[in-house]
Amino acid sequence: MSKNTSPLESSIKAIEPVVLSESDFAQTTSNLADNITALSGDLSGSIDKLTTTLSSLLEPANSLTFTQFIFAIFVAVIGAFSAYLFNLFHWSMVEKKQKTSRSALALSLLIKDLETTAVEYWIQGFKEKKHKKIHVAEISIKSKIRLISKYIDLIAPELDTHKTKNIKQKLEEFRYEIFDLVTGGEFESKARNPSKSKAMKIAIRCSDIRAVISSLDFVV
Amino acid sequence: MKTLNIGKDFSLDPSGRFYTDGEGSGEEFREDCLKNLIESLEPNEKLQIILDDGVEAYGSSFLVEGFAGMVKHGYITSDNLLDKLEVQFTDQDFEFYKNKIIEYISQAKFNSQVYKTTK
Repeated sequence: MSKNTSPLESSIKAIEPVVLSESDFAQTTSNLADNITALSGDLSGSIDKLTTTLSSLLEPANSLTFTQFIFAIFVAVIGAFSAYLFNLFHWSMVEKKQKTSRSALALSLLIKDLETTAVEYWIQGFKEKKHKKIHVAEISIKSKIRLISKYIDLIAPELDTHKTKNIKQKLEEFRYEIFDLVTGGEFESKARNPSKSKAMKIAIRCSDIRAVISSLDFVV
Repeated sequence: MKTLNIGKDFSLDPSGRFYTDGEGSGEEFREDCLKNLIESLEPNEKLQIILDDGVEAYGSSFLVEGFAGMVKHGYITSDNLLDKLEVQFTDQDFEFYKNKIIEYISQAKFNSQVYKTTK
């Protein structure tokens, strides 16, 4: 049998469509059986090789050196640590945003409160019979302005980004303006006359800054 | 350096603009406290003002009358007054009032108003 020809090919070629003698038929059948046996042996060898290769792939630890094993562990640890750091960073950012949002809400409510008290204060002039009530309003106004300034100090450092710089500047301007507007002029004076225009200015300025603060929810 | 502690030396509740507004007014602070202390300072001596020892808050009317009034009524120029004052506080909330005092003094026009007491 030639080495370049497979056993099956040789067997097929060996079959001749002629009438064979009994001895030739026996010989041909015997050759065919031999060829089939040889082919089966080759196939079995190939399957054995494939099984060995697959087995070595499925059991890499057996073939890893100690250095490779340490490296694999190191990579796994680095991966886990990176995930932890990312998680930590993510949640600290979320918490920071929530804190700024809560402070902004408190500031907005405080400004609304100041607006109500200050408008009511300036819409009426000083009256001796309402002296106590007026004094309470004056104390309330001064304490609220102090608290507003404190809240702005708390929020301002969080507003140094490109998006929020403008809001920070508006808040800074507001606290100085509202102090002059509400506690200037005849504030705490017995000669104080009602001032509708001042009350209106206070209401507009407060509403305006509250709108600015509410926009913080969208940008922080 | 001399010291003026507003809460201890003047009033725990500084409020109002004029004498007629009651005790602790800006006019009273200027005429009875600040003016005398400024005039008593040696050349290059400073006056330390403590804002927050017992005082909770200030109003603009008091600060304008008390500090800027010194310049408006011609007692001292704004540059000189700013040079002589050293405003102190321990509570950071009072930095706001310090900034306002500096702003009012800086903006005041020297000798722009004739002083008439409201006593």
